[in-house]
Amino acid sequence: MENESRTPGDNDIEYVLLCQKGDKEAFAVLVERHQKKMLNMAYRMTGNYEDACDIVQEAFLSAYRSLKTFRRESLFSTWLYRIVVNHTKNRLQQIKARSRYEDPAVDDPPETEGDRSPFPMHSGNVPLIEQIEKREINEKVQECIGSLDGEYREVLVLRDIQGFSYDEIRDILHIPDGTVKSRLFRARTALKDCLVKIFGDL
Amino acid sequence: MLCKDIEHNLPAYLEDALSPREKGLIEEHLALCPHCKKTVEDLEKTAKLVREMEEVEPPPWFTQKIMSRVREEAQTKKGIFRKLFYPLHIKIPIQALTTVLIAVLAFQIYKFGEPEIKVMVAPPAAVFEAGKEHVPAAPQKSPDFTPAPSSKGKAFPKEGAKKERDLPASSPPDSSDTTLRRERMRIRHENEPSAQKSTIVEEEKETAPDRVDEAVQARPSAKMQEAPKALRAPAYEYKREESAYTAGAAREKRRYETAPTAPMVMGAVVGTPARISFMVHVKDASIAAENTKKLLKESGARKIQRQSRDGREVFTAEISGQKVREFMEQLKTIGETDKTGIPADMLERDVSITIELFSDR
Repeated sequence: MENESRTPGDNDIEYVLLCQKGDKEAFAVLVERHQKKMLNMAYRMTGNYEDACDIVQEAFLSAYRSLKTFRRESLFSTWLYRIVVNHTKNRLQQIKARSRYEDPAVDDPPETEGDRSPFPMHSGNVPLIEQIEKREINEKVQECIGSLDGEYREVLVLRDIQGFSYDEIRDILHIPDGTVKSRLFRARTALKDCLVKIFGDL
Repeated sequence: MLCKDIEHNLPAYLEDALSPREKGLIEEHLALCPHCKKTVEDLEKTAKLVREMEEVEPPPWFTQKIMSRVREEAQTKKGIFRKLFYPLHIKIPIQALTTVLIAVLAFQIYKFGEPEIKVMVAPPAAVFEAGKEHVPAAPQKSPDFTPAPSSKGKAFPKEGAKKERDLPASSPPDSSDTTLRRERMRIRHENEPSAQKSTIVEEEKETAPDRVDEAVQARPSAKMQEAPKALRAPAYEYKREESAYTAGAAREKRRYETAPTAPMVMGAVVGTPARISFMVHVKDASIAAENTKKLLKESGARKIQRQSRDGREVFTAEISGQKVREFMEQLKTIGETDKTGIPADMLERDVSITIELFSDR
């Protein structure tokens, strides 16, 4: 009952039901709706655009496979984001395991994209210098996010970058409210420390 | 309150997640401590920097890429492979079972098919020739018959002829098929006098019941043994009891039919030992086989050969003609035989005998 009352606003549900009935084209609507958010979540957590794209594809595929198990206990989007977070965690573990063999510097922050960075280039109204500066700053911030522990990183990304509510984060990560907050505050402090270290003064 | 503790609570303070009392304490401290004040500012700036991070855009055709993989997935899900092999926990046992069944079946077919294949392999030329020679020769048999040297042929030329007249309609239609087959067997029998009886026996097994009558009708003049009882003369040399084993009876008829019938055949038979075969119905083939072997030895048989086939025991041996009758009597102690008498001419020379032991299984 509680679930029912929590999900009346799920405007994905109509397409989810279509998919569950076998209309795979209805899934395209859901992909279209959520891909960007999922991509950004994955990208901020991994710091690698290509990896993020892979993760999102895999997440959508496994969502499609297990669509029948979606019981409307949460919003479809929450369910979907949980999948992408889990896929991201798995991918990060793989990367970590791989770098253990290839590179002893495990603690290095994940690489950020250079030339292939997908940030849209502003034209005209923003001076080029500012654009480059901005990109550099972004890269530094991303670097620092990457240096955070996984559990801090995901909370920070979900809350401060994606703007999810505490309730949503609690549902996505399946952790208690208090944990969300304490992790978030530590993550913010750690990120600030990292940025201060890099920029000297903010 | 130490700066460390204050710093720890600053994010919560910024989030306005503290109790009013804690909040008050922090505000007091911040007013006095420039270090902590700076920390608050840095936190705010960090939050701003993070907020200002630009979103990345999905690569072009991202939805299409994902959807094509989804469709692929959906296709394989409904594909033949999945249909056949999923759910595994049901279909794998079924498939395994089917495989075993097929294997067993194949083995059985191979095993039981083997003897029949041997029969099929009989020389086609002989069959053809036999058909050619025999069919036109059939009507002339009764005249040819009388001078035949065989003692078996003499007795009933008239009855045979009469029978042929009595059943004119039935002879032509069935002569083509059954006669041909019988001919084939006869030819083989004559050409290979020492051949194993088992092949013939095999063939008889499958066709014998129907062919008792056929044989009687098709070739009445040829075989005195096959004459129906009504036509049998009282002087009939060896009265045959109505045997419980039609197969055996039919077989014996056919065997005797070979020797006396066609004159051209006689030459081949002359000089080879006379043949006689016994079908013996026993309870246990293997026990009976031992007894038979003993019996054969006691009767002074030579060239004793034993063959086992599909639960049947087949002995071939040569035995002196004088001992045949005695042997036959002994054989009755082992099981029910299909014979009660033997041709007189066999007494004069060595006889090649075949004893087939079979039991109901």
